[in-house]
Amino acid sequence: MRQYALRRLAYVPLIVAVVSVLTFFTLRLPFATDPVLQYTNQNTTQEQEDAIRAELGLDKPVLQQFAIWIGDVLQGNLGETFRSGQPVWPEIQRRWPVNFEILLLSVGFSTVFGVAFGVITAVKQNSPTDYGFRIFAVFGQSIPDFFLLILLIVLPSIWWNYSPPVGGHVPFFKDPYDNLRLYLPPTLLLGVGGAAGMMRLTRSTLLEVFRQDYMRTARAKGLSGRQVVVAHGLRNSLIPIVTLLGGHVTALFFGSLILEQVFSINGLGQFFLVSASTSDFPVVQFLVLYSAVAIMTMNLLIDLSYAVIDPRVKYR
Amino acid sequence: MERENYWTRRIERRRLLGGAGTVALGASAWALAGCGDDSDDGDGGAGDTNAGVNPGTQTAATPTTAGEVIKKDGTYNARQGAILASINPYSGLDSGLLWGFTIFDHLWYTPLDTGIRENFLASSIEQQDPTHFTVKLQDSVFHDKAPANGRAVKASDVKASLEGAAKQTKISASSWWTQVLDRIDTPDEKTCNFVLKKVDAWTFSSTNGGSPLAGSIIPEEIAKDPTFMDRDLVGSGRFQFVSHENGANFKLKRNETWRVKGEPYLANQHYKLIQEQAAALAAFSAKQIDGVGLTNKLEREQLEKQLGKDIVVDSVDSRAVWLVQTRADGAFADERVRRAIYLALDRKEMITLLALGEGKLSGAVPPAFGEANTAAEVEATWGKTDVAEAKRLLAATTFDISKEYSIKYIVPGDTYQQFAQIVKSQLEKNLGLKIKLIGEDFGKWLSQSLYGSDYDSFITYPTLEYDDPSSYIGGYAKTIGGRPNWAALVDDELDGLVQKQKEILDDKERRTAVQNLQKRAFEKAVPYIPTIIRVTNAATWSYVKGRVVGRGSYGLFNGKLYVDKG
Repeated sequence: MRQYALRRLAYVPLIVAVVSVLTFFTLRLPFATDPVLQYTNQNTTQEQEDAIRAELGLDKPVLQQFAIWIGDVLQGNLGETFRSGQPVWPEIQRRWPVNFEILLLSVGFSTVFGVAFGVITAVKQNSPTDYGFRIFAVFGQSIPDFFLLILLIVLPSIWWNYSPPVGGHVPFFKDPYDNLRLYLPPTLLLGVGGAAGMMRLTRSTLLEVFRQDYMRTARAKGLSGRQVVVAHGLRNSLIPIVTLLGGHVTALFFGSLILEQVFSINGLGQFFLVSASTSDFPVVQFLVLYSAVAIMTMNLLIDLSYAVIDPRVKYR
Repeated sequence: MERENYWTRRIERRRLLGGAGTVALGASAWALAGCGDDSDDGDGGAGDTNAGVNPGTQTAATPTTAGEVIKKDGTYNARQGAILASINPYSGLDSGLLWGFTIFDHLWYTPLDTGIRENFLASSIEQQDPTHFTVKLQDSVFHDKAPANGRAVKASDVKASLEGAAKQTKISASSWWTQVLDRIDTPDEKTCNFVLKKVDAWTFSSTNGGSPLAGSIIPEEIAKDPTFMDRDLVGSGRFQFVSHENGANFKLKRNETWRVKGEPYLANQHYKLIQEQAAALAAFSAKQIDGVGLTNKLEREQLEKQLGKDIVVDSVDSRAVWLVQTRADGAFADERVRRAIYLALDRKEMITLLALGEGKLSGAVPPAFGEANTAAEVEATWGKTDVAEAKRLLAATTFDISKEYSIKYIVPGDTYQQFAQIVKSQLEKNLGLKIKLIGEDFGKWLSQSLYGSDYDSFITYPTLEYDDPSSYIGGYAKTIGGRPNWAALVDDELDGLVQKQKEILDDKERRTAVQNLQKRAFEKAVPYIPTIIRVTNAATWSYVKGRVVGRGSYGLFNGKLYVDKG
């Protein structure tokens, strides 16, 4: 497995290189928005425009710009944002805890609820409980996240003139109460909404596993229902669940944008959106790279986890 | 999202102020000191003028009970609609204006409604000749923070601030800073002698020397190294900067040494980042913020129904005029063609469709001078619709109605698109034109289509709300900010009138000259066709007192706001 992991890791620099080249040059295609236009107005003279271009490092040939940027990145210098002139890395660092917390809570809730509901519906197949949860799952998958989040804000306001806190980020270790007041309601809602897919997958996989001979054997051995379901059934259903979970985590690297927007939390999703729409090249370039590395790492971890979950899986 | 150019700044400021769309601009009761918004330039719809403010609109404080005791030391919670890229006021219009109304002091300001300059830090301003004037400073001290540490404001600070601001390409929207201001001499600590390169009668106006943005007074030490303001802000304004979180959730506290003794009444101003309008309304209902801009009258009615008499709603005219810009060359060179377009537009229908019935016909742009025209005059001129006459005029020209024309508008933004669709529909219905809509990314629309005149027939947009008339008048000149006229309008007479009014120092005479210029421009069917002005709505909890409404940006320079929660 180690060899397999190393082999997969060996591809990372190659993919990162391809992604960097694609991102860098796509941003500078002739039809892309010129970042200099963000800083000019109808009174800007050509000299001023040239000065801004030089200040942003865009006055040099594109290949030279690429060489400078890649050289800086290799030395750990991500450059400065066009918009604020601040170094990119501290800007990312400041926002990263926001995304980590959203990711942790959302994935945690969706996994716990999704797996739990999946097991319940599989065990109680075709019962009113099963139908009830399945209807919930259809709703959960049908309603867009932004609508759920807006409802979370609007309904209490209309009913009770109450609004959940929005705006800002309070670090958990600084003020756990305020932190959880801000993050728990939306992540819980998103988690429950996101649990729908997980529930359906868990249910269908478990039902398939329940029909296997070894499950019948386990019951014949006199194991309790809980042992049969958890130790034998659930464990053998984990591979698709983990695969889906990996997808959730990957999506949430930037997928928390909707939550950030509705709840006015200044995280990486918003940072990326604002930077992309204002052609803030240094930020966009780095965040695309960051995203690529995160996705590759997550995929590798998921693949490796298969071997842990199922001893029959061997990597050579 | 936050493009720092002239137009995006307007949009961004709108977001910053908490509006959700064009109409919400003024609505932002966020209005820093809660003193009304920046487009609340009208009389709330009760007056008989059709184009914006009435001169001399009364400064109206919110209702207070006789004998009521002012409660100082409260905290005003305001909405912040967008994240600032940087707190540095030189990094963009949004941050510059936010701090310009709170953290920093200014020499003077010229309210748009009166047009009369009012001294702030300046104790007197004497103009020796058209290119020289002297400003004497009042006693004032900077906030007690490094590097100024509470020292007195000196003339050298003013010089460093204003000359420094002139070099800031990201904020100096007005050419006054680069093309008119020559230098500031400081013979002593209380005297600033301004020297101009050329005569400009608009020198004291709010986009020029009286800019709340570029005119901020900053300690000399910082003005010489503006990067300091990436980290902290030190001024001599009513409030002192305390903290922020990644460009959001600002906290300000009262400047205890503010030059106006006893003010400001508020002990703190807190800004809360709320980007979504639905979330802002909810936060307002929950009293997490004390004021909110409303997108349209439906929102206003819902809020009034929900919160009743506990809130105060200000409904006022926006200063933005929705404009249809044609070309002045090619097929549109014939004045009769442009006149036909004027007459084919049904502005009352626009008010119904775009503003849910809440709006006015627009007279001449700039609307700040609209008072020259009564409602009847506007309806008979700029606001006139006469389809039969329009058809007759067009038929008498060689204009090819079988050809397909286009309207370029900004995307994203529902209102921009709605307006373009209404114009398209009216021109197709009333003149038989074939028109296609072209939505363009803001950057391209601005830089190529508008500034670069890259459109073949029509371009639609709302005008800027915050500018003084000098900016609008420039549209009739042969060149705009050194570029060829956006609509390819080349008219020697109008160009001459534009240049001439800049040199008329007497305010009354200049106003007359501008109004005559506007009338002449209308007679020549200039390609800038004003249509309607929408009404903006803003709600404030009634416990917020001492607000000033009806004064546009001037209302933000208010130290008498207080919060009386009982």
